[in-house]
Amino acid sequence: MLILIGMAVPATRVLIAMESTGNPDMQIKVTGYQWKWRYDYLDEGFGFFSSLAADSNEARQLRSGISPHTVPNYLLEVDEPLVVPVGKKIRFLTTASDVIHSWWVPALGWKRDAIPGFINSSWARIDEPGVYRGQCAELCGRDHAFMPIVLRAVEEQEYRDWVVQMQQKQQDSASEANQTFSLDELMARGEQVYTTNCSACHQAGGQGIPGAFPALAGSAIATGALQEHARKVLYGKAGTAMAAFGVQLSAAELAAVITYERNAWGNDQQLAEAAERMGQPADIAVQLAQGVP
Amino acid sequence: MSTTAATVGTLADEHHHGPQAGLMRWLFTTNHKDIGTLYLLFSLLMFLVGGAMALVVRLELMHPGLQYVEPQFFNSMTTMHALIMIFGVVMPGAVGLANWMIPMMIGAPDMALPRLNNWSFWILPFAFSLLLLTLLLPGGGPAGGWTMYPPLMLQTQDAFPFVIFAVHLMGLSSVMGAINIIATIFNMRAPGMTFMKLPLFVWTWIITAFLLIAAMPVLAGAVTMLLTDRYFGTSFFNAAGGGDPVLFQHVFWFFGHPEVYILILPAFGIISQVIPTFSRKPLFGYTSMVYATAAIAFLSFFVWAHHMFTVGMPLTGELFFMYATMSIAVPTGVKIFNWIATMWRGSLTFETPMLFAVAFVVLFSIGGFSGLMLGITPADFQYHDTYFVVAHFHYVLVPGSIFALMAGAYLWLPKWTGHMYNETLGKLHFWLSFIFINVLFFPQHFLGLAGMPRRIPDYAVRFAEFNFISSLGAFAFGLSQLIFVYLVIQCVRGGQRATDQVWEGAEGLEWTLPSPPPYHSFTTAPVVR
Amino acid sequence: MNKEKTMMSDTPATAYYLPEPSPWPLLASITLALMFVGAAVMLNGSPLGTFLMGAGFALFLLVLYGWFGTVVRESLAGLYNRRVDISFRWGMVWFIVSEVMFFAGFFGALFYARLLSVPWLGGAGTGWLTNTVLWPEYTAQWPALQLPDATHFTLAEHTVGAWGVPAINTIILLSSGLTITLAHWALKRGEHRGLVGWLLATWVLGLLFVVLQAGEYGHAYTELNFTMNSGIYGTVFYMLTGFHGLHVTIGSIMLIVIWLRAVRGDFNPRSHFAFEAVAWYWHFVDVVWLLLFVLVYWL
Repeated sequence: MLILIGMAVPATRVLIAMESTGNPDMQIKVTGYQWKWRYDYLDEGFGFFSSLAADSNEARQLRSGISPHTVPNYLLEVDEPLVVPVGKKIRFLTTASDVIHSWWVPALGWKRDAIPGFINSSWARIDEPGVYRGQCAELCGRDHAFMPIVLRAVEEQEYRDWVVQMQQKQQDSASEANQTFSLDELMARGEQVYTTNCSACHQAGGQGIPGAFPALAGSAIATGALQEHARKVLYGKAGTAMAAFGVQLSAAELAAVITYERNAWGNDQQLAEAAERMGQPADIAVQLAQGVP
Repeated sequence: MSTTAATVGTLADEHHHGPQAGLMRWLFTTNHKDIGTLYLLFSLLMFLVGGAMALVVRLELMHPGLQYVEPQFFNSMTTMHALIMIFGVVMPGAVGLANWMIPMMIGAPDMALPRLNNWSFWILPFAFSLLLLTLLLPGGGPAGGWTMYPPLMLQTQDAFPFVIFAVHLMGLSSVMGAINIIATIFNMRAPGMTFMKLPLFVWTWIITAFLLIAAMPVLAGAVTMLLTDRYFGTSFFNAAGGGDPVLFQHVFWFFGHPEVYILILPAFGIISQVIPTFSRKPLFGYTSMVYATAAIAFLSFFVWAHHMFTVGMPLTGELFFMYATMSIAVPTGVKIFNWIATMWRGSLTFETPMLFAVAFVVLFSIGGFSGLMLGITPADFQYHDTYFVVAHFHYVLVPGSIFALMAGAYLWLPKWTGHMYNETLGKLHFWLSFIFINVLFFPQHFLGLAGMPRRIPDYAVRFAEFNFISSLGAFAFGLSQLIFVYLVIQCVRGGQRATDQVWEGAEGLEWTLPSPPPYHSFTTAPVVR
Repeated sequence: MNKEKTMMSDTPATAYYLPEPSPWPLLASITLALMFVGAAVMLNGSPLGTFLMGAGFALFLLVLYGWFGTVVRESLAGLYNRRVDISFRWGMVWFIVSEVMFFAGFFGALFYARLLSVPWLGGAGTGWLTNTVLWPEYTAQWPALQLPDATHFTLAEHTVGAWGVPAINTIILLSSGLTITLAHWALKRGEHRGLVGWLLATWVLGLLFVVLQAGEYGHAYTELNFTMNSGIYGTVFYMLTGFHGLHVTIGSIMLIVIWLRAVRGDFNPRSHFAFEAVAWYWHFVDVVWLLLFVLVYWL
C-alpha cells in the first residue's frame, strides 16, 4: 500500500508536467495517413509528407531477396524527415485523416494517438541536436509497420535555413501546376509517385491483391474515361483504404501518376479513347477546383 | 474447505438414465459431464488452431524482412489468434471445467438448466466456423486487431459482418452459460453447503458469471454500433457526424477489462484448489480470498481506460484511471500472499498439477508487476502498444490462465476418466512448457523497452536477436503441447486405476464420488456437515 | 422457460427434473447460425442472403415453438418441483440483467456524445484545438442537428419533440404496466376473466405503442428529414428507441403467447412462472422507455 502511494505521487507529478502543453514556442500539426505522416508547420505556412525511404521500401517487399541488414536504418528512414530547432518548446498537434495512428518517438518519452477528426496535443523540448527515430504505434492496417518517423533536431540557424528552403520548394511545386509535360516526363515521375503511394496495395506490377485491392493493369477505370479515373484518384473510395489523393499530392504529381497508370502494364493498348492517354497538371487543377463530384 | 459427505449417491440407482449411444449422445446431451467434455475438447481443438496461427506470426517475425506472408494476412493472423485464444480456448476451457466440477463440488445432480447448457455449447462451433471461414472470403479474414478499433475495422472487406455476428453468437453463448452457472450455484447446493463452505473454484465462478452477464452484452452493443456505422449510416465513431472513434474504445474496454478478469478468475479458483491439495493444508485465508476476488471483480469496472491512456483523455481522467488501476494490486497481492502462505510449512509434493500451480504463482506475478508498470500513466505513454504490453498480457494469459487450465486438467483427469495420467509425461510437459514459455515471452519485455511496436510483421534489424530467441521459444512451446494431447488420449483409453480420492490431500464432495463418477453426479443429495 | 404446476413443498434434490437428451438446443444453434450467415451474406450485397436470413429466422421461431412447447408439456405434466421453478426464476432475472447491460452500452454512447464528443468538437475543454484547427465553423449544440462536416449526412430540420406522440406513448406504456399488474392480481385471486381481460388490454396497449412509434418514425423520416444518417443525435435516437421498440415487439409476442395459455387455463393462483417472467420483462421494457423519454426526447 505504501509502496503504491510512493509510486503514485511522482507519477502524478510527471503526468501533470507532461500534459502542460501551454505557451509553446512553435506548433507542428502531425497527421497520420495510411501509411505515411504529414507535418504542417502552422507558424511557417508549409507542410509535407514523410514516407518510408525508397531502399527500405524495396527491401521490405515480400521475398524481395534484399537482406534488411544491408539497408541503412532499415524501416527507420524516411524520404523527408521532420526538422525542428533545439531548445524550443514545441507543441505537437496529432490527428489523422483515415484511421487511428499513433505518433511515437521513443526518445521523447511519449506517444500520442492520432485520431481522425480530433486533435491531441503534447509537447517536447529537445536539448541535444541529433536524429531521433520512431514508428507508428497503433495498428493502422496493412502497412502499419512501414510508416516510420524521423525527427532531426538542429541548431536554430540551420533550422531557419531549412525553413526557407522548404518554403521555396512549396512555391516551385505550385508553379508546376501551370506547366505542360511530355509523356516521357510524366511517365518517369509517375512511376516514382506510384511506387511511393500506390504500390503497397495495387502492387508494382499493377496486379493488386485479389479480393483486397483491385488490379489496375487492364482495369476498367485505368483504361476508361480519364475524368472518371482522375476522380477515383482525387477523391478516393469511401470506406476502403483508397484515400483521397487530391489533398495529398500536387497537381503535377497527380497528373504524372494518373498518366503512368494509364500507360503502364500494357494499359495503353486497351485505352477506350487513345486521346485520353495522358493528363496534365492544369486539367487536374481544374477538376480539383470543381470540388467533390 | 472442510466438507465431507455424510451420504453419497449410490452408483446404479433406480431412475438412472445413462448416456445414449453414438453421436446422438454428444449432439443432444443434457448432461453436465458430457457438455463439460464437449467444451474441453472444443477448447483443446481451438488451442491447436489458435496456436498454429501464433506460429505463423512467430515464423514471420523470426527474421527481419518479409519472408513468408503478406502484411495483411499477418494482421489477420494476429487478430484471429487473439479472438480464438480468448473466446475459443480460455473461456470455453473454464466453462468446461465449471460444467464438470461445479455440480460435483456443490452436491448437485446436474446443472440447473440442462438444455440451455447444451445450447450454450453448441452455439460455439457455429460461431467459430463463421469466424474461421472468413479466411476464405475475398479480402481475407479480419485484420484490424481483436480490439476491432474503428475506423480501421470498418475497412474490413466481406469478412466484416461475419466477424460481428460471430462475436454476437459468442456473447450469447457466454451469457447463457453464465446464467446457468448462477442458477446452479444459488439453487442446487446440497443441504448444509453454505456459501462460505463453497470450494474456491465455485466462488470464483459465481463472480466470473456475474462479470460475464455485465460485460458481454456491452461487447454485443459495441460491435452492433460498428455494424450500423458500416451499413446503416449511423455516426457513432465518425467525428464528421459528431461521434468519436474513441467512443468505441470506451465501450469496448468497459467490456474488455472485466473480460480480463473473466479469463483469470476461474484460473485463480483452480489454483486455489490445487495448492491446498498438494500442500495437504486447508487454503490460508479462505474468507479473505473470497472478498479479494469480489473486490477485484468490482474494481474491474472502473479501470477500463487504462487500456487507452494515449488517446488523449483529459488529465483528470488519466489520473482517476491510474489510481483505480493501482488499487487493484492490493486484492491481487492478498491472493498471491495467501497461496504462498498455504504452501508455507505444508507437506508439499510436486505432482504435475502442483508444478503448474507453482509456476502460475511465480509467472503470474511477473505479469502482475509489468501490469502495474503499465498502469502508471506517464510510463504507459512509453510502453503502450509495444512488445512490453505483448509480454505483459501473455504472461498473465499463458502461464496465467492456460497454466491454470492445465493444472485443473491434470488435477481432475483421474476423476473424469478413472485412470491416472502418465506422471512422467506430465512432468515432461510441464518442464518443457515452463522453460520455453519464458524463452518465448521474456525477451519480448526487452523488445518493448527497446522500442518495438506491437502488431508489426517486420521490424528494424536492431530487434533481430530477441525476436529470433522468442520465435525459437514459440516453436518449442507449441510442440511441447502435443505431449499434452497425447497424454490426454492415453489417459482416456486406459491406465492405472484411480481411487475415489485420487490425491492424498484432496478434500471436497467431488472426491467422495467414484472415479469416474456416475452419469448424474449426486442423485441423492449429500449432507454437508 | 415456463413452469406451472408444482409438486408442493420442499421436495429433495432427488426429484429435480433432469430432461432427457433433446434435439432443440442443437437445432436452435443451427437455425440461429443460418440466420446470421444469411444476414452477413445479405449485408455483403447478395439477395440470396435475405432468403437465407428469412429462412433461418422462420426455422428458429419454429424451434423455439417446439422447445417451449416441450417445456410447457413437462410443466403441465407436473414434472417440475419448486427447485426447478427457482432455477427458471434465476434464469429469467439474470437474462433481464444482461439486457439491461446491453442498453447500458447505448446509453453510455448517448452520454459520451452529449457530454464529451460534441462539446469537444465545438471547442470545449481539451477540444479547443480540435475546434480551432479542424472544425472552426462548428458550434456545439444538443440535439446536434448541425454537424462538423455534413457532406455524407442527411441534415435534419427538426427532431422529434417530447410532448407529442412520445408523451402519449409514455402514458400508454405506464398504463400497460398497470394493466399487467391488475392481471397478476386477478390471477392470484383466481379470477379467470380478470386475468384474460387485463392481459389482453396489456397486449393491445403494447401493440398501440408499436404502431404509434412506427408512425412517428415515418413522420421523422419523410417530413422532418430526421434519420439514422442525421449525425450523432439521429444515431443514438434511432438505436436506442429502435432497440427498445424491438423489445416491445418481442414483449408483445410473449404477451399474446401467455394470453393464449391463460385462455386455455394453464395458470393457477400458486403456480404461473411464465406469466411472471413475461410481467418482469414487460416492466423492464417500461423502465427503459421512461429513461428514453427523459434522456433522449425530453432533456
